[in-house]
Amino acid sequence: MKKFLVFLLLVGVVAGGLYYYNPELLGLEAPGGKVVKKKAKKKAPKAEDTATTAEVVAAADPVEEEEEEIEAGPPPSPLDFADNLEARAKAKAEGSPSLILWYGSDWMPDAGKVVTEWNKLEKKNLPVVLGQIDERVGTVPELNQREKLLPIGAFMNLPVAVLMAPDETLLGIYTGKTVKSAAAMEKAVKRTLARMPKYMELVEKARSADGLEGARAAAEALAMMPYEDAARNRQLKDILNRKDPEHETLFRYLYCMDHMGMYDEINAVLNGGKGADARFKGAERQFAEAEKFARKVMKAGKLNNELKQRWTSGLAYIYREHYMATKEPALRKKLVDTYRKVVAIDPESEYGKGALRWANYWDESFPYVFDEPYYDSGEMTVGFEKDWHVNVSQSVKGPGSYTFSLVPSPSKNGRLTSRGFKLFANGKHVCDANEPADKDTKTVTFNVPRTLKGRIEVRFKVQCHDGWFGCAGEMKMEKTK
Amino acid sequence: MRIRTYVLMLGLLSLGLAPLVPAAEAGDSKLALTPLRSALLPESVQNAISNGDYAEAQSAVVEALKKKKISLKDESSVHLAMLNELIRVTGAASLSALAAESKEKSRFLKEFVQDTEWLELYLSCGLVPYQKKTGVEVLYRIWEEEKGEVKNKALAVALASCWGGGETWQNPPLAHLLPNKHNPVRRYKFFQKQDRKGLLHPNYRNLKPWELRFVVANPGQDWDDESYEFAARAINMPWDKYGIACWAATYTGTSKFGDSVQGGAYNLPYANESWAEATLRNGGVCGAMSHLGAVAAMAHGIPAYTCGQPGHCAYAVRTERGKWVGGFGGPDGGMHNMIFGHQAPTSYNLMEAVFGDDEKVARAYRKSFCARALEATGDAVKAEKMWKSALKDSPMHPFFRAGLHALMKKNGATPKECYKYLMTELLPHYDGHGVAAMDARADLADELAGMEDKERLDIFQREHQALASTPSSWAVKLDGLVEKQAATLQTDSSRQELLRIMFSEHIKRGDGTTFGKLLEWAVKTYVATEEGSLMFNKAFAAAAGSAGEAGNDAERSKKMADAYNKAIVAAEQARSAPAFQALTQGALALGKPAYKAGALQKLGEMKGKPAKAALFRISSTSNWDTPQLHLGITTPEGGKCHTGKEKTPNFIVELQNPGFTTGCLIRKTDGNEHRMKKAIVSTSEDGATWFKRAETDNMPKEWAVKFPDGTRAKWVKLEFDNPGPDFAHVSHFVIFTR
Repeated sequence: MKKFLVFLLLVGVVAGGLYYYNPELLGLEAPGGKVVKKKAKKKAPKAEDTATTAEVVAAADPVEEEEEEIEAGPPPSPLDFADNLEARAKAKAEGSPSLILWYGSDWMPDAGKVVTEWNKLEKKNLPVVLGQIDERVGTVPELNQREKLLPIGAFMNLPVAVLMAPDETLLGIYTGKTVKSAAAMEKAVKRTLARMPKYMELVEKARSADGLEGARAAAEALAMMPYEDAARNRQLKDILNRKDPEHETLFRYLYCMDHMGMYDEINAVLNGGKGADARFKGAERQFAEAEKFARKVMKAGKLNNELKQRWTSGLAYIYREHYMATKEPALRKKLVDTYRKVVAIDPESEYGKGALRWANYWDESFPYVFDEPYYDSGEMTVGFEKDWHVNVSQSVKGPGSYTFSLVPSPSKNGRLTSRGFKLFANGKHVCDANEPADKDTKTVTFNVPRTLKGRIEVRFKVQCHDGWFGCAGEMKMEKTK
Repeated sequence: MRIRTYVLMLGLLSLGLAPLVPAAEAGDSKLALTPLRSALLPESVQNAISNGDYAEAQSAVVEALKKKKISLKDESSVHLAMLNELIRVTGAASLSALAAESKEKSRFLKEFVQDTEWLELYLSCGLVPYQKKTGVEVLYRIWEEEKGEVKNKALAVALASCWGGGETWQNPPLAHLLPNKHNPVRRYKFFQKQDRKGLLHPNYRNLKPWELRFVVANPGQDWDDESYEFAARAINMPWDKYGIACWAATYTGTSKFGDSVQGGAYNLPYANESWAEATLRNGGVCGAMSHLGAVAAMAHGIPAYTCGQPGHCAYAVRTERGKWVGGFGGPDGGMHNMIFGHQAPTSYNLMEAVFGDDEKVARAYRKSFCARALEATGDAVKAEKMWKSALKDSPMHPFFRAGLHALMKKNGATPKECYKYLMTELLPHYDGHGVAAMDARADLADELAGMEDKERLDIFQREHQALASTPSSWAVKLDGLVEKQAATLQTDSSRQELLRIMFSEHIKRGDGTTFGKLLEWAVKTYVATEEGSLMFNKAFAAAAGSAGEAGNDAERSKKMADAYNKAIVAAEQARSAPAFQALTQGALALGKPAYKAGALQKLGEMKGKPAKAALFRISSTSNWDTPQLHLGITTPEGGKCHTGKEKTPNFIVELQNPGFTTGCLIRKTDGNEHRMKKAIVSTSEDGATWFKRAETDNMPKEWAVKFPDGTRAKWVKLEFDNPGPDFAHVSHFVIFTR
């Protein structure tokens, strides 16, 4: 009997437990009177609700680029390198350069990769003392002191490595993919070390020679560095500023100024003075003088691509200001040509990419091409019309009547004017819209006569009268009949 | 009790084990809260939902609720109460419209209403999208993307909340956003991917939806999806450094192509780049840089917000609960993302206090669903009790207070009952959150109007006691709140008493900022007229007298001077130029201190003329300070000031009229001139972005600083960089303009 009671109790526990978590297993009803069904494995939903309106929540999802997936793991052990200050002291004592890595093994998510690569780098036996800045090695001072650890100012995208001469003169800065690869680092450091004797000779001269001679040596040394490194080289910039206070060598315009400084100087010449001292306005400004000034600076020293692009953009700015003040067509061509020169120097750089857009913006023969059905402030032109070519290949399915509309965002329905709508297939004119070519309208109808193949575009002329942020919206091509 | 629970309990009891308790009892705040199990909804409700008729579903829910005892004990009643709340807040029409759009959407809704975990997360996230389908539609789109198995429901809820706004904040204005740039699904996938790769802050996974809203951001204000992806790649810093991440970009008012940042063409060359990339590569000013700093933090799973300040934009980041750290002059200002109001710090302090205890707030939310359900079934008495029970767990939740107050009004609470409620049940909970107390009380404005002035003044005094203990900032706006207090009072003598209460409560405690803000309001409101001035002075004198024991004339006079000094420093902390000017005049009218500053020797070297100062700000004060002479420091006649011991003591002069400045003349006070060696002079046009104009390692007794041509400024700062904490004291800091 006792055994039977224990058995009953066990049955009760097991049954209770089973029912508690899944009553269906016992064939019993769940509260509410229905058998709980197991959740069916779901099929992928149909893509029947893709974006058709400007409502944000109905947006189509973008295709992601393939990227290497690294699963999260525990932080790696720090490198077996000396702490920053210790390594630098050792380098000084040995007369060797120091190479300091700031990476943060305790926080940086993919620090493991950096640690692996730099362990490899250690085995390359570069003639440098390796050191590191890491929370777990040595003493890292307070937050606002950290950026003072290296002679490059605040740095916001770690890891970064800095190569310094034994006396802590800055030799090179390594970031991005380079600092994350032993092979790339080895190559880059060797390249820097190869130019080090000449560079240090110039640095010594910059320090010891008086006045303009010292300034010239500092400029020559800066010119040996990649632009980004030179921009962070406070040591040499200080010498240059100190030894050429009156801009006699013109090198300060190149090496001690960013683009803001350049435009301040150009504007000072254009306006005949800075700030409240300006004497000229509008078409009276000294355009020829400003161009002369810019060209003189460009001839002063050996310019790397960044500086060439910067000062060529400065020239384009002068032409643009001149064109805006006078509307002389020749100046418009000149400024477009100058922007294209900036692009030619390095199309992939920020100057290159930006200048391309500016050139296309001002170039009357260049249309804006849209592959996505949205327009935004970046496509705007103020003061002149621009041709827009909108890809509607996906929306035109066979012959019929189609409505093309520009649907401005509710808060940006500015005074955008659009006219002269035409339909093209593979660059060939197919038909005009139903509205007269000079009528400002945002909705037109096309009667497509036959099945079209290839790239189908609606082409028309647009101007936004409200300037930046004034016009944005969606473009739709819908079959109506 | 359910059958299955009985069966299990029978077994367990037989073995001498304790029974499992399914959930906390209503009103008992000590029991642990367990996850809410899903109950099968009544057939009538299911049928209505299957038909996509949510108005019918709501009626069926209410009918089903009427048959139940609504309490936390009965989980099926809580489930129904949540469904009632979902339909109430979203709107039956919105849900029906969404269900009608496609079979998949209808199927999603059917699953969602059964998913108690997700439903509870959604309804407890703070701001629940109100009378629109946006929030639920965002959840649907993520569900669709995840093929029905949403892995991170909290993240999905945060996105739904941010995209849809809430009853008290209908933002964000999505209409102007292009869907290819602000896509909640893309943002969801981004964070899931970064999380898988371990690229987010270690605390990210602990964040609740109300915190995650500061990670996924308010799409109406913050940047595009691509900016997150870019910032994750381009800005990687130690976790505690995102407060300076804005400086990854260069501060520049001119683009690489010469266009001003204030004009439309600035970003035109980079319109095909994300905002983050365009800013990082080309620079910007405070607006773009603060957004960059915030987006860099958010892209790494760190909550952040941007905020507006007068003439400036700043941001804040939060690496641990309750601790917001400013970036670029933040965290104070008008928050662009928020739950309970947009005034930092008071709004986020309230939010942190309300949501700080996960379990308590979760329990309070369940009770709030029950309270709404009781209201829906017509049981107003029990509903009121349930609201009060919810408020026991979360006493400062503004929405629960609003719910209770609405019901109290509906139930016909008298002014006397409201007075008692305010004094005993509401205000005692708000120490440290005075602004929230005043906001909460505002629901009962009609009842307040029915009280006597004496009762109103009791309430206002208690509010000012709470306000005086509230951490505040110059950015918090109090004018509207005290204006309303004054307007409610019937007589001038009551208003004078209100001023006295304000002054005496705030002169005694607080960091001075709130005192300064209130002084500013009082000065602007009363000092313009003779009668008003009289009221102000009487109230101020009475408050000064109450600051300590009463004594003889000399003692009283000293107390008045002390009170003025404290008030002047408070006005400086609050950055209130009108209060600073008026109080300085008032203090000097009592008698000028017997002090004469030394004469300037280098006055002739300066170009231009001395500029009139609106405000002088000292970084800290000390026993040797003489605030009534601060204004004099900005004039050639000189004055006197003395900071406390600081590593970087500083003085800031705000000019009455911004414009071109030519330089400044600084003179140390006589005595202890060995102090104040390393000094920096900077100028600013927005009060937050400073440009160094001069620096010295050994400041002379008198230092003439000449600014570069074309230096525009509204603020000029003199800062000392001491080797260790030390005092700073100058007799002159005179700014010159053209």
